[in-house]
Amino acid sequence: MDRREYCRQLTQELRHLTAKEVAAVRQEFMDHMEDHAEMLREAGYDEAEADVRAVEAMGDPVETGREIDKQYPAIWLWLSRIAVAVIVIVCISALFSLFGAYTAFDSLAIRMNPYRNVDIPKDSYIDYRMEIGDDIVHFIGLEGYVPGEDCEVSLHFNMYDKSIFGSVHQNLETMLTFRTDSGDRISLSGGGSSNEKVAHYRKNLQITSDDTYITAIYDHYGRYVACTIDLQEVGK
Amino acid sequence: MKKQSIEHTHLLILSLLAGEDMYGYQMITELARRSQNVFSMKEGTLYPVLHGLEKQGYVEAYQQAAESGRMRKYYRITRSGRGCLAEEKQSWEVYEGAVNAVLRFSAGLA
Amino acid sequence: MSKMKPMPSRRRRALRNCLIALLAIALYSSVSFYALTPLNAVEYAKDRSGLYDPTEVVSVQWVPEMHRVHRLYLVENEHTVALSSAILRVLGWEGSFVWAVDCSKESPIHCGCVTMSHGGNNDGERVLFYYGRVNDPKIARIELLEVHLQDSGIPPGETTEFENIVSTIELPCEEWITKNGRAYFLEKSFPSDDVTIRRYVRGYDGEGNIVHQEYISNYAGVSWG
Repeated sequence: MDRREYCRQLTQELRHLTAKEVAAVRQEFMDHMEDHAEMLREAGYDEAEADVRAVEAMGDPVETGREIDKQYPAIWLWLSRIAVAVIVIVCISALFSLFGAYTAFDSLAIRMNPYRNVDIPKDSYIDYRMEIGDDIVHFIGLEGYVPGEDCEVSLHFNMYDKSIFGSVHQNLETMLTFRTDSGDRISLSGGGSSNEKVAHYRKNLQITSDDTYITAIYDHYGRYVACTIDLQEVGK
Repeated sequence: MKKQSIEHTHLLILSLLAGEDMYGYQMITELARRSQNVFSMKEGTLYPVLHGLEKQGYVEAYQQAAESGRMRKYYRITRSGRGCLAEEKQSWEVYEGAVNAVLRFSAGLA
Repeated sequence: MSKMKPMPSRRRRALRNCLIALLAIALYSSVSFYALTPLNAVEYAKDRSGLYDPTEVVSVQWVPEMHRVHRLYLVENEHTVALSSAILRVLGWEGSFVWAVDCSKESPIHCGCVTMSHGGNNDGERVLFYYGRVNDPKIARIELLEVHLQDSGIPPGETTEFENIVSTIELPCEEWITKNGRAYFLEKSFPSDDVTIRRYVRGYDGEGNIVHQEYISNYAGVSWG
């Protein structure tokens, strides 16, 4: 039996190894037999004799092959393969989920610049926040307010979740009611837009000349939150 | 007593590597030399043991260039390997002590 | 002799790959619209629908009429009873909106209903779910009525004797589900297309007297395109 034949018989038993691993084992055994043959040549044996003795010293290739095969349990290989498959699937899915990352960016941006979606005069700026569960309603402007007169005002507000990865209640603006000194106010009109994580709305309200505040109220599912906007603070 | 020789092979290999990093053939010659040729195993049987030790994390392998320029696969003992060696050594000493004790006892009777 | 980097064994490589896979999954789920489990999808839906407090699951069932893999959850807490759907898509579980009935205001029965259909196809199957909570201990049986109101002048909330009852579903208390000391019900039916149908819930006591009647105003329709 020569070296190649020894390796052939050995690698045949390596059923649970990958091609790469088999090649590595083969290399290791070839190197070993070369080292041994080299030692024998230095001791005075001729090349052919050294080769034969080196191979003989290895023993039974089939038995050795089987013993090595046992050292490569399939579980680690399958675990590795499954893990890699998962990573690939996640990466592909992530490409389709860029939308989620985009809206998270939106949610971050609205906190840094609340006025990025609106164009209202600086003298109508206000800054009040309501925390409803894990959502935040941020009142940012009151347009059209004229002190001492009956007027229709436009109340601007942003809504977003406390976390940039969280979603905001899509209908939150319909669940707010408003009250002034003179009583409950019904929003006649308004408008706005929202995506998964960020919403901006404005609500139009009629107020009288005597009104000094507008209170926004959320009262649902056993939770009561109110936020009072002082009309004298507008534009300061 | 083939099974037993494989068991103790773990102990012998780890103790070889505890001294220095070695490559496959070097371990064979060292083992024969240090044991005055009592342990001259079939060389093929070394590798299942080495790969098994590697699988368990007791040794790790790396490539290094030999003098001839060829790349050689060296084995190095790890920290957990040293721990395993200490344990195996201790259980061997207990075993050896027990055998000696029984022999002394029998010798006493003879 | 310089120490060179060791060649990784199978085990090490597998453990490293598993760690990377877990990190990838965690990162992905934080930005993804889709969830790994149907209950997670319901939690996202709650976030979108403004249900802030934790809820417990009362009942779960498959709704194969709408989607092949479609899970319906009835959830509750002290102030809410709500219905939500989770549908298995390619990228994970997708939660629908959560249809909730506010139970913080006193009432003998809290009831809502949701109609589900496939969008754009009028001949498609429609499924209707009634869901709610029975608060009055006197009530032994409830009835869910579909009524055809001929007289369009009657406002929906008015209590009336009905002449044109299209269908009745009876739910005795044995068919209710108890959770956290409260009694809930969930009933599936196949509604008619008629837009003049109004739905009512009635509560009867042990002797058969009507204790409460209410127009089901908490109505939602959802269609999947």
